[in-house]
Amino acid sequence: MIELKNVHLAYSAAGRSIPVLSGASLSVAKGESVAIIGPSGSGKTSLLLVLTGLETPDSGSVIFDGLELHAQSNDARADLRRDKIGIVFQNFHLIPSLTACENVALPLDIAGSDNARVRAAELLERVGLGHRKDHYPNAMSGGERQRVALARALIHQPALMVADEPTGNLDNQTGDAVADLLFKLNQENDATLILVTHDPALAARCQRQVRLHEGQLNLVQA
Amino acid sequence: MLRFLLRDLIGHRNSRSLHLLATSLFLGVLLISACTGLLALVRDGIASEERQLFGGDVELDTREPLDPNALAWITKRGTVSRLIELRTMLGTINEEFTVIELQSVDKHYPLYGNVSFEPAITLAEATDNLGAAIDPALAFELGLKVGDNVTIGDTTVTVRAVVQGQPDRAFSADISGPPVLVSEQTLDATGLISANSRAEYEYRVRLTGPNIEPENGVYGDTTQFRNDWRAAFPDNTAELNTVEGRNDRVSERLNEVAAVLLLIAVATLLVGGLGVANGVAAWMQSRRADLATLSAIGAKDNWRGTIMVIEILLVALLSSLIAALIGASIAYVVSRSLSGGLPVATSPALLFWPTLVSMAFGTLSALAFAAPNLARSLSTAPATLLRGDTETDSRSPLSLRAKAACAALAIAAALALIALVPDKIIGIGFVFSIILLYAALSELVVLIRNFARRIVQSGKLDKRFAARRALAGMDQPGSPLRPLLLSLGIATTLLVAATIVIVAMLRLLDSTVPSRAPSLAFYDIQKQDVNDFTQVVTNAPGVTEVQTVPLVLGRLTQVNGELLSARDNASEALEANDEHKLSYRAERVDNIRATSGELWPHNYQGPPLVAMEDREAGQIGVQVGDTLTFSILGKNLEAKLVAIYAQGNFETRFWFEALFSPGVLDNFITRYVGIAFQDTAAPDFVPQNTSNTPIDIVAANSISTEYPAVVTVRTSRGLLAAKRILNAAALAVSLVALTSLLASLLVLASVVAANRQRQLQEAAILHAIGSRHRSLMQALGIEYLLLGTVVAVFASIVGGILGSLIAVFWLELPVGVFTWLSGATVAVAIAGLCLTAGAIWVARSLSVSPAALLREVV
Ligand SMILES: Nc1ncnc2c1ncn2[C@@H]1O[C@H](COP(=O)(O)OP(=O)(O)O)[C@@H](O)[C@H]1O
Ligand SMILES: [Mg+2]
Repeated sequence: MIELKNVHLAYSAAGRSIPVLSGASLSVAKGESVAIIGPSGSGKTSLLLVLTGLETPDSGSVIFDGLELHAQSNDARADLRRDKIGIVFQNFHLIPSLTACENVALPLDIAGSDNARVRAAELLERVGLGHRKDHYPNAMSGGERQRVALARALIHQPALMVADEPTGNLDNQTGDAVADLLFKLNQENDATLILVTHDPALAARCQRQVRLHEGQLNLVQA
Repeated sequence: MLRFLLRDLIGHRNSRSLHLLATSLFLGVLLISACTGLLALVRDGIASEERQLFGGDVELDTREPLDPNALAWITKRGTVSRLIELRTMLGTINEEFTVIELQSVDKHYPLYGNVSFEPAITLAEATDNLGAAIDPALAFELGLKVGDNVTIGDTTVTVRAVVQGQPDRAFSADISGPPVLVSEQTLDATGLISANSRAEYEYRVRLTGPNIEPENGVYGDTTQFRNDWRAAFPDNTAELNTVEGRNDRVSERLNEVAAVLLLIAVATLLVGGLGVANGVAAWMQSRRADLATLSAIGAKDNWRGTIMVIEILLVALLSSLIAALIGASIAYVVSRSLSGGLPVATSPALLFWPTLVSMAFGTLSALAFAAPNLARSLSTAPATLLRGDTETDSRSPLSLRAKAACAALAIAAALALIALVPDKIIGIGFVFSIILLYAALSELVVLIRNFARRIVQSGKLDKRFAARRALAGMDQPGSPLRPLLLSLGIATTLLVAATIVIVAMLRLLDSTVPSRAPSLAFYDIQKQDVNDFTQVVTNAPGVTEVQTVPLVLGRLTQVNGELLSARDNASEALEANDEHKLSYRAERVDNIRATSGELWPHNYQGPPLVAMEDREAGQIGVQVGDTLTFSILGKNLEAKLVAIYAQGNFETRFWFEALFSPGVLDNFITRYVGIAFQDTAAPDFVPQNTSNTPIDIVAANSISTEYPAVVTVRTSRGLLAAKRILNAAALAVSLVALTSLLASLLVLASVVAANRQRQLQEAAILHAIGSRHRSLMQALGIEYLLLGTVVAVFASIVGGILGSLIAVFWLELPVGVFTWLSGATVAVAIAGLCLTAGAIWVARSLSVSPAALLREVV
């Protein structure tokens, strides 16, 4: 489904180049679930951005469904995210001027699907936010926002789900519920799941765990 | 704290909004500084030109010398120059005689500008010891050379020079004869001044005082002088005229030009202010998170407020300073290109105040616009701020105290604006218009929002993401619709209004001096001579066309049966003594247009009708519908006043105080006046004959040899002067307008960019979840198309009406279809260009890596 080959990425800050990924490689099969773990600042978010075509690596390649991601046009990559990828960002990236329901409906709007708002409301109900669907993100707690972000990432039933610390802001109980939803969709739709987490329990629920260390990915346990 | 401040400023994560703030401030202040600076220089140029033409600030005209008390009174208030003018004969040693206008001048003459002679000697050298400076036409006519002796009255004087330029006579046609300048001693020696000689005494005053510096454009207050004079000498019969009250078309135009320039400057202030406001708003928006963090780590409100204020002050002062200085340099450079025509002030000292005021205005308005935002941020609980709650609270009500403070600031800003405008009525009208515009546009915003909401809710656009986003975006909290529409709408409307006035002004300036104008005018052609005279003139060198119309002299004696001489108003009663020039309204009479009432058709037959010239009608106080009785050659002629007309042009053809319907004057016609056109492609082209004498002098001379009794006046010289000045004025208006328009465009483009800041973050998120750049740009395109159309239509209509009102009622300029079209063109161009610039800015901002954009989103 998705394959990273020898990816290098460095940021330049204050005139110096900071290597973040140095030869990261990973191959994830369709329907598989993979957890990426690593200390803060190790480049997990950067890795997810590269994986979803939002960041262009300095070298190496990302193959998505047989397509070389970074050989595609910007618009083609956007289309790919629209049709096949759902992303839960670490800091949610909800649009503050839209209600929860409108935020969740966005991927359907972009794709021009029917009944966007009705389906969004249903999904919000499933993540336990039915009563807050008309509220703006600013009026919500971190956990609530996270669930809205999750709903937005999943509404179009993407073939690849990418989640950056999806339970990081949640108490155990809600965290479990969110994780349940992710894994349920993973199984129901045979969707691929890649998630970044600090939580060993969550990581353990994945089929595979890889650690990001000094810019490289190492298998922790199968 | 300072270290924190600097680090905070330079290292600020969201450096784009710092850029925007500095750019907006810079452009706003640049615009204001360049325009007000140019205005100061040009207004000074116009003021000085008007004074040169008039000969002073104030003039007192009498038939006899002023009594010593009055003279002492005016001498205390300024430099006084006395001229005595007298129509008399000049004779050569060959006993050839001709009519001249003898002018005695003193050592102060001229009070403004310079006389120039050929050879280049001073006025004193030309006139001392029985010397005289004579007009070139006279030199040619009588074959006089420097060193020749001529007789005037009882004395013989020596021609010392030929007058090349005399500032106060630039426009006057030499109806009383060609001028000859002598000293007062010489005039006394002629023995021509006696109790019943018709000499005119002109006392011209250049006002002086502690704060009066003509060289820096600060002139004395002539209204004050007039009032004081009236109070001190209520019975004095001297006629008092001031430079402001000057009654010729060129001065009128120059006054209008100054008013139009002022209008541009005022509009400029607002547009510049808008730029500053939007920059500050964008900056404050991006600083809210920092405010929250500061508060969370224990900073007190005072400290937070101080930090923000100092930061804004630093940025504002620095940007304003640089912008004001560059603006002043632009003004100076632009004014240089005018100095060929108008005597544009050369003193850069004149730029001091405009520069300082622009700087202060930029800094203060930055603070003023930051205040409500700051008050809001400080009064918001840090918790709300920390949640990144930047959307909802911009609608939350301010505390009463904060509201009062903002209202006070707004009123202070309005007062400052009114204070900046020299004409208070205009300033107040301006502030009032802005409030109305603001209200109208706010209402429009509500309408558009409702419209957008309705369409989005109808679900019609559910399959069209771009269109749906565009419309939904207008009805969202934090939507840029309101600030954008208000800024662009008000600014574009004002610029359209200014365009209307400017175009009307330029068209009027262009038509004031006719492109084809006569070079000679003739007075006192006897009725029986008309045909022969026409023949002689036609054969004169270079003459291509001759026109004649009857001239009948008469006095207006009664208005509606009431004797004019019995009026209480002394100056109206005096009019009964004046002879008025009367004629028919032939096709040839200079383009006149009725300002009230209506002129009769050319084939009119019926009871006698009359139309009067506007200035004359105003002086006498007659109105359309009155029945006027004229006394002509001892007989009474009664006619109904059906129209009052204005002679739009510089008066080079025929000029009459009243025109009658066909046939009415037939029994009274004894003489004619005429004009001749010469073969000059343009009036500023004076062909030279072989002897290097201008062809109009040659023609005039050949005509007066055959008809010595007909007064021949050369008109091309006045035309040239008028054309030169008005062209320069037109150029000035165009340059100021262009500077203002270009800078306004930049300011408004920065306003668009500032308001796009947050939408950019939204676009980054949308792109991250799968929206193509193309469809994001499409959404932007649809939004801008709608916005641009609304702004262009609103500004064309409202700005058109506003501009027309100003043009027609305040400046009395005619407004035509072309003028309206140019206004609409400007509206479309501004809306189009600004939004296109905004779109390009967004496109460029989006073109960086999506990850980088996302990381900017907190
Ligand atoms: N735009 C950027 N410019 C410079 N450095 C960056 C940028 N983005 C991220 N970094 C740095 O790259 C490293 C990896 O960041 P990130 O991928 O967010 O790590 P993680 O998600 O594992 O905490 C960090 O040290 C971060 O400071
Ligand atoms: Mg991270």
